[in-house]
Amino acid sequence: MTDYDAVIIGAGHNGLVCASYLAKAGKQVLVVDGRHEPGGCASTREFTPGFNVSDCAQWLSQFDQSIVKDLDLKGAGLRLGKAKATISLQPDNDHLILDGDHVTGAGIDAVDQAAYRDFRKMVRSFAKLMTTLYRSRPPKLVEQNWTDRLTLMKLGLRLKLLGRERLRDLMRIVMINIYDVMNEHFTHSALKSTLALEAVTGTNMGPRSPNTVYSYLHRATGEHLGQTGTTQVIGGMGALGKALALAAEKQGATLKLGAAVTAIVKTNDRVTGVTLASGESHIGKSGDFQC
Amino acid sequence: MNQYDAIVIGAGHNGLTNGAYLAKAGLKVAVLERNPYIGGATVSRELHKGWWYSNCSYVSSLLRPEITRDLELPRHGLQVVSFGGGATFMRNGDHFGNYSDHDRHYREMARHSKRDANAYDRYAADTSLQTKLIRPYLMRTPPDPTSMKPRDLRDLLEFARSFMDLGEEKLLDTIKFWTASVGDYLHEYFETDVIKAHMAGSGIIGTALGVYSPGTAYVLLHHYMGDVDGNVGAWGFARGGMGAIADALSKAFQSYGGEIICDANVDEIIVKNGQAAGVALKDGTEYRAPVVVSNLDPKRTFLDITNPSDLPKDVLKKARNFKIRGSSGKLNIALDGLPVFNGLDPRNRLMAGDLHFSDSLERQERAYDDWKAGTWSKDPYLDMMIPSLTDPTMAPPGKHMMSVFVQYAPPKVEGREWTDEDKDGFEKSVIDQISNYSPNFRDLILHCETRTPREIEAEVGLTEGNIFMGELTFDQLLFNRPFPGYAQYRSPIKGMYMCSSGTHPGGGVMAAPGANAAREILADLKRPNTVPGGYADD
Repeated sequence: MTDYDAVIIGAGHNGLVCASYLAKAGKQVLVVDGRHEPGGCASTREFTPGFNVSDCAQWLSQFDQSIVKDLDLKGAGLRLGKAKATISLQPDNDHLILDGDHVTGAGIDAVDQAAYRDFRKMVRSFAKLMTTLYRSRPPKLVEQNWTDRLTLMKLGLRLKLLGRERLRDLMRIVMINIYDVMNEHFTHSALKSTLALEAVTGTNMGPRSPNTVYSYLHRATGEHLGQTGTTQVIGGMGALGKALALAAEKQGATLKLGAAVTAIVKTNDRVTGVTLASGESHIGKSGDFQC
Repeated sequence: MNQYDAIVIGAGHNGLTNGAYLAKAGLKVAVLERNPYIGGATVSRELHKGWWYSNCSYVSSLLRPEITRDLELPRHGLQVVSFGGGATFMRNGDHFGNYSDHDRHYREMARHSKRDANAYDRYAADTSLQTKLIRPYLMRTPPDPTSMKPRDLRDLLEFARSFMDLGEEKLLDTIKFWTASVGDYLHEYFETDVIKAHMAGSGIIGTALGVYSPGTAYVLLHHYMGDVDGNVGAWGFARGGMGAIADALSKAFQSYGGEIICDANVDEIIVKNGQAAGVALKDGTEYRAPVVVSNLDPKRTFLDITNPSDLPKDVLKKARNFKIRGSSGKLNIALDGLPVFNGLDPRNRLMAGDLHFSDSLERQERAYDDWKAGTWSKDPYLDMMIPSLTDPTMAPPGKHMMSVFVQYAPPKVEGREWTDEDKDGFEKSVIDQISNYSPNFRDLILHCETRTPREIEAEVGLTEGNIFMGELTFDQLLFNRPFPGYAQYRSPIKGMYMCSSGTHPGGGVMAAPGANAAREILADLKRPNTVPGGYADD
């Protein structure tokens, strides 16, 4: 079959978003996935009768709001819960609660509360800066073209706009560890560990490992992109997968689930299609086929 | 009359270098030293009769050749003898030898892994590319990226260009190198535990990080970027111990008319109308000068000997947050003869180099885990040398001197100060480690001097016993050293400067911070520059 301009392997959230934008631009797109559900890690499973669980990713915190709008995911059924507060449980039931810029409970004093607000403010200014990078492809540094140069110029301008002191802060903390940064800002032990947890979750690093401030900023940037903070998807993360699949189809993309790819077909050093486990193969239209 | 043109606090190698260049420019300079002897951590002492040895820093490579030649240090008695060899002794009784001869080195690596032997040249080429990149910046003042001054912009542009000239692929390799852990970096070339562990040591020495901590690949580079007589990456012994370097520098300084005052314990830097005016000693003596240069680490400089009311708040905060963590200790051992390790003939050339016992990255990382838990490593990483094999003057005839650098030792033990019992425990874990590989070692010990971070701090004045005067992590390197905005050797107080290893380009007996600071001071005073520029590599 020679039906498509592009085949996307994997109907996870990135595959579906990519497909939607290509389809929106008028391309004939096929998305294939070995699983029978769309969404990849954004999936919900009934693990015992009547009980559902987001069985891989759990929270939505970094999904770019501009994509929600562009692809009309709300129209495709995406519903989000309220922004989530973080509660650090304490043995004496006086729990530490982090909600937005406010932190209360567990005997936290006004100094740490103010420090937390300042810290969030600083992190937000860095997150804003990183948004520039997150919304563009990583620029090549030497073999740049104008798109790359534009990204770099925007980044340079934003760095300057941070102001001298903030820029100096950034130069210092961007590659260091969350352990030191927590100790520099706070005295409250539970507050430090709660924030540090966000910096190490999902990495094979500990709070003393350099670069963990960056992983904290990565999460914070996600919040900035998502604008809502960390939330739960109503119906579990699978509902996001479904909404994305629906949106992709609305844009004209074709989804083929339960179709595992066994090989990428190459002709004359050029990718031309894929072969599925069923033996079926999809060969792209001449010339501009992309995978 | 105690009136000078400039006063330098601390007669370590950087203080003496700084003083020498200021005096060479015609200034009347005094270098004040708290101890009755000079050198700081660049010192030789006779702590056991007949054994004169380097009791702190112990090997030389980083000392900038521009300075050695310009100050004519060899004429003032300095001779650096390079050494070769080195080995990691393994738990299974085998060893990995580090031969200086390329072919012999290849055969030794191939004995452990042919694949690794074939990867070595690629590793050496990639790593030396990084040294070439950094070396031109050692004798220069780092540009300030937040500044709009023409000089900073020009230097930044040049800095950026030297990176761009690498091309996309090599530039990305470089970024990875500067941010990676030494463990991950070595994984990309080698598969054999002992080979990786042997090389990874240079990534953690003097650093409160483990072999898997990002940023340690740079520390490896810091140990590779020096040279002995133009042989980049080579290390050597100063004849007569590291004190010979301080002695030669002091003679050069005095030949330009400089004055060294020992037993001068500075209490405070005197500031008048926002301008440095001199120093007051603990005994009440005052020395006056419009230029005061601190060769103490940034914490001691701003938190101990400067009046907080003379400093902006942000600098106090930055000084408090400066990372200068003790991570190592040292044993200096007088030996009755040569120990035998894993059956290796002690006359083997390998014995003249750096000897180790950690034969895997995992063992090194676990040694770091102990440090994090606030105690010394129970299976410590040792960088052990027998300098008397290369320089027989270090010990009486037939006897030997052994220097054992120990990683890790925390600045405080489980949050409290070191006690003498802790020190004994620390010493025991090191002696046990060595004895595990050498049955005759214990019987050869004539004298053992053990130095935990407590002793190093008390004697030399390195805060927490950190040998580099501040961690060599990117938040404290180049234009970030000691803190962003203050990397050009000037303090926030007019007339007060910094010249210690806590400034660019950092720790090790390099003398570049002292020289770079002198260049900035002379520029401020509108005096002709006496500091040589950096040599170009071929």
